[in-house]
Amino acid sequence: MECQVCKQREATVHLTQIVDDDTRSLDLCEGCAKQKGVSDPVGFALGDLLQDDITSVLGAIMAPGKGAKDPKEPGEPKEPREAKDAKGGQCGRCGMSHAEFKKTGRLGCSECYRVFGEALDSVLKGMHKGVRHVGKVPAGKAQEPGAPEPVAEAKDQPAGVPTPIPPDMEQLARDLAEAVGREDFEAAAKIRDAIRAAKKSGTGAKGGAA
Amino acid sequence: MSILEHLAPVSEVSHRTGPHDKIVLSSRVRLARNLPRLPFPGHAKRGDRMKAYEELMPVVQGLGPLQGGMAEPMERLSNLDKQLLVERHIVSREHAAKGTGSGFVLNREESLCVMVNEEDHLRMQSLRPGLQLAAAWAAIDALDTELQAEVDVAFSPRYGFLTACPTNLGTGIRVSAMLHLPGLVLAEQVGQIIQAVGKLGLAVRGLYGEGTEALGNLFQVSNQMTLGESEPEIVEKLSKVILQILEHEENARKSLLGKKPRTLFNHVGRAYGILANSHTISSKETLNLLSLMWLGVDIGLLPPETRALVNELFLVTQPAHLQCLFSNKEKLGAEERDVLRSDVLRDRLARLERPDHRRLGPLGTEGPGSD
Ligand SMILES: [Zn+2]
Ligand SMILES: [Zn+2]
Repeated sequence: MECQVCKQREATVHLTQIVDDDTRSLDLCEGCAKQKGVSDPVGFALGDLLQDDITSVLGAIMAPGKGAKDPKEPGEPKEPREAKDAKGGQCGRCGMSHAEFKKTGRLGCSECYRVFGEALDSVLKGMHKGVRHVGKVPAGKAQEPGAPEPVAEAKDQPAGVPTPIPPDMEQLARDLAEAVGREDFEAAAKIRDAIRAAKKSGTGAKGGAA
Repeated sequence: MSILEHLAPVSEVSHRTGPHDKIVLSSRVRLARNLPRLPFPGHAKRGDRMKAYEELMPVVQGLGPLQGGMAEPMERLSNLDKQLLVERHIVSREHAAKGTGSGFVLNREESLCVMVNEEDHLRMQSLRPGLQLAAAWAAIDALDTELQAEVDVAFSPRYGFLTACPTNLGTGIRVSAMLHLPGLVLAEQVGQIIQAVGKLGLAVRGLYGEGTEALGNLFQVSNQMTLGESEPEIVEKLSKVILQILEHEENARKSLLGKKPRTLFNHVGRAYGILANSHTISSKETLNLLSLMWLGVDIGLLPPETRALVNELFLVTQPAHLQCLFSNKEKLGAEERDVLRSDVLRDRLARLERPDHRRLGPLGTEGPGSD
């Protein structure tokens, strides 16, 4: 079997990920695996436990050039978007200019988040797990009508007070790791769906408004 | 008079214990919060910075858990005091560099600290011995909720809590633990761990030392992402990963003890030899050797009660503590400090029995030492 990256050497490192119901595999030669930083067995012992993250690792390898926080939108180019937003605005409250924000990577005040919001999103994408807040919300702020922020593409409203992950989720995570461990990917995909469903139904921390 | 007199005595600090504290020395959770209408501290003019300071200090001091604690403006502290606070992990190095318009409030137990006008208007942290991330989160979450009943904080439904740097945006949370990993370092496996943990969106770095070097085999693991994940998810993830690192560290120690006992005994014995007999010693060498003394206690070469002594030496041999506790001079040079440090170490270790491999039973006496 040849290495999927260099397409030259023999693949000796074999990785598997689960995307939705699909299992995908990646075969690498030792050189490419090392270069991508996936050669060590310890790493995968850790990765297996947190299935979401192993997906990101593989996503990052499979879609080079992207932070691969979300493997479902592969290879969205970063540069053009930033360029589009670079229109040289300025924060009316604190005087922070767009150029200064781009140079320092810091914001001047809370209002800056509204002024530079669009440019910010592309920065946030490469930096965080998501671009929308999930987690604690100040009392009385959750349902504030007519929030000043642009709320386009708001699929899920930010959740209420964070809920601890229920214990059965932990069990599911363990089952998942175990299934992956014995390479029973069909079972793993099923467990994965169960985890997703539990999260959607509001038992997970992302629920709340759903 | 030094701020040391208002802090818990070193002897008390070095006896603090927590779950898994052989390997996880401490757990910390910090939250970043800002006032909605004033510029962030780094971008604020003096007037606005003072406004934030004057609004926040009294509110913070009035919060239940912080009442009766210590509240100090940074400008009132000497450089030595600031360095002491950094060595105790009470304020950040960045905050120690601040003057007028910045301050901190610390509770009596020294488990909660709020920095005012650090990089954000508020940096609130909860610190606990051992692996107690969930407890640390619960404590700081409660303090934050109480604070928000008193002041409005900058929040957007879209971006969450607004912070000066977008790397903290959303939850504003940084969850971290300080780990002692001599087994993984000796087994040359720590690089793999750092890489693996890095892939999970967490960071591992040496706690002391520059670049990739980790003095005293001490590492800090922390989350990098703050947006798109809830606080409990982040805390849970860190706890899980730390438990796994803990297991790897325990296995590394077991395997070294099984396969190369003589190497281990040699490291610990030499560390003791140098610490107990040197006449000048740098803080860097001291950190590395004290780490081996901790290891010696953990594997049974030294009696268990030695751990508190090593904890104490770890703290009192750091520059500011050393100077405050053992010198009358206004300021010590680096060479004077190295001499003073060795004096303190020789004195404290003179009464300690030397590491003895026979404490371990047959394993230690047979000792073929495979290298
Ligand atoms: Zn290849
Ligand atoms: Zn601004």
